Amino acid sequence: MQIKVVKNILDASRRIAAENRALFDQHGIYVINLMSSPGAGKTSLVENTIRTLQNDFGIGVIEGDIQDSYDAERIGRLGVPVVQINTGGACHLDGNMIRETFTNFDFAAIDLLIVENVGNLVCPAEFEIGENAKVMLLSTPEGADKPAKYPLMFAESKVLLINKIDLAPYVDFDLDKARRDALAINPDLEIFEISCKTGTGLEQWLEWLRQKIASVKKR
Amino acid sequence: MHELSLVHSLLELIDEQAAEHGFSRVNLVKLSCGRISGVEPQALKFAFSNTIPGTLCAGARLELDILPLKIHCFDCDREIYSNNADPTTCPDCGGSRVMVCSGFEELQLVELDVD
Ligand SMILES: Nc1nc2c(ncn2[C@@H]2O[C@H](COP(=O)(O)OP(=O)(O)OP(=O)(O)O)[C@@H](O)[C@H]2O)c(=O)[nH]1
Ligand SMILES: [Mg+2]
Ligand SMILES: [Zn+2]
Ligand SMILES: [Zn+2]
Repeated sequence: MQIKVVKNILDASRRIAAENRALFDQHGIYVINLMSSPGAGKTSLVENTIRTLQNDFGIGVIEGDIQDSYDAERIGRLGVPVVQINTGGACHLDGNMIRETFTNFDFAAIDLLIVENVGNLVCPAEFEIGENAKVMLLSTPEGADKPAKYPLMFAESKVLLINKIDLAPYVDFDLDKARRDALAINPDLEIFEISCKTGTGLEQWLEWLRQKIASVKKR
Repeated sequence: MHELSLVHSLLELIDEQAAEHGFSRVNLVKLSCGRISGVEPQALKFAFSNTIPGTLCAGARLELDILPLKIHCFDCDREIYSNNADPTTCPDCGGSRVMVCSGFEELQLVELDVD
C-alpha cells in the first residue's frame, strides 16, 4: 500500500520553537539567534551590544558551546544574566535546549534575549529556536566566497553583519562580491559593515536593534 | 552533521502514520529536499540504515528526491536550472547578476510504501 504523506521532518522541532516564541511574545521580549563560523566575533558583538544598550533595556544572554563556558564568563562580567548551554558535541542549538534555560531567567526584567549559537556556518541555520530574527556574522578573514559556499545561512538570516571590517584591506576581502552574492540568495537581507574592534558601523546595527526591541516591548 | 537526529524525527513521523493507517511494515520511504538545503544525502542514508534495525522500517529502502536549484539570471534574462554547487553564478553565462529562486526546500517525508 502506498501512502502519500508530505510532512516536514522538522515539524516537531518547529512546534517547540513556536511555543518558545509565544512565551517570548507574551513577555514582550525580542530574541536574536546569532550565528557564524567559529571566531567570527559573536561574543565580541554581544559584549559591544550589551555595553551600549544595557542602560536602556533589560538584556539576557544564552551562550551555546559544544563544551566549556569561556563565553558565558565573558558575558557574566558585564553584569547581565547569562546561561551556558553545552551541547555535548551537537553542532547547533534547538528549541528544546533553549526551553530548558527558562527557569534561569526573570522574563519580566528582559527586553532583549541574545542567543549565541554554536560556531558553525552550516546547521544552526536549519533549526528554529523561537527567535524573532536570525542574525549572522561573516568576518572578512573568512573570505567573500562564503555566501556562495554556505548559502543556507544567508537565506535564513534577516541581518548580515560583515565584521572585522578593519581587517578588510589586509585580507583582500571583496566586499562587493560578498554583498552581491548574499543579496542574490536573500534580497531582503539587511547588511551592516562593522568592526567590533574599532566600533565602525556598530551604531547602525544598534539602531536597527533598538527599533526591533521597541516594537515588541511591553513594559 | 545531525543526520541522526533527523532520522529519529523521521521515525517518529512514521510511527504516527502507522498509528493512523495501521501498518506494521515499511518497504520504502520517499523523502525530498532542495539541492542547497544543507541535507547531506550520503550521511542521511548512512544514519537511516544504521537506525532502522528493530523498527517498523527494518529493511526499508530510502529514496531521496533532490529538488533542483533554480536561479534567475538577469544577464540571460531567464530562469535556469543549475547543477553548480555555487548558486550565485549563472551556469550558462558565468555571470553573477542572479537571484536564487528555489533549492532551499526542507527535508520532507512525501510517500511511504507499507504492508
Ligand atoms: N581585528 C578585529 N578582531 C576582532 C573583531 N571582532 C572580534 N575580533 C577578534 O576575533 C577573535 C574571536 O572573537 P570572538 O568574539 O570570541 O568570536 P566568536 O564568534 O564568539 O567565537 P566562538 O564563540 O569561539 O565561535 C577575538 O580575538 C576577537 O578579539 C573585529 O571587528 N576586528
Ligand atoms: Mg563566542
Ligand atoms: Zn547540527
Ligand atoms: Zn546567465
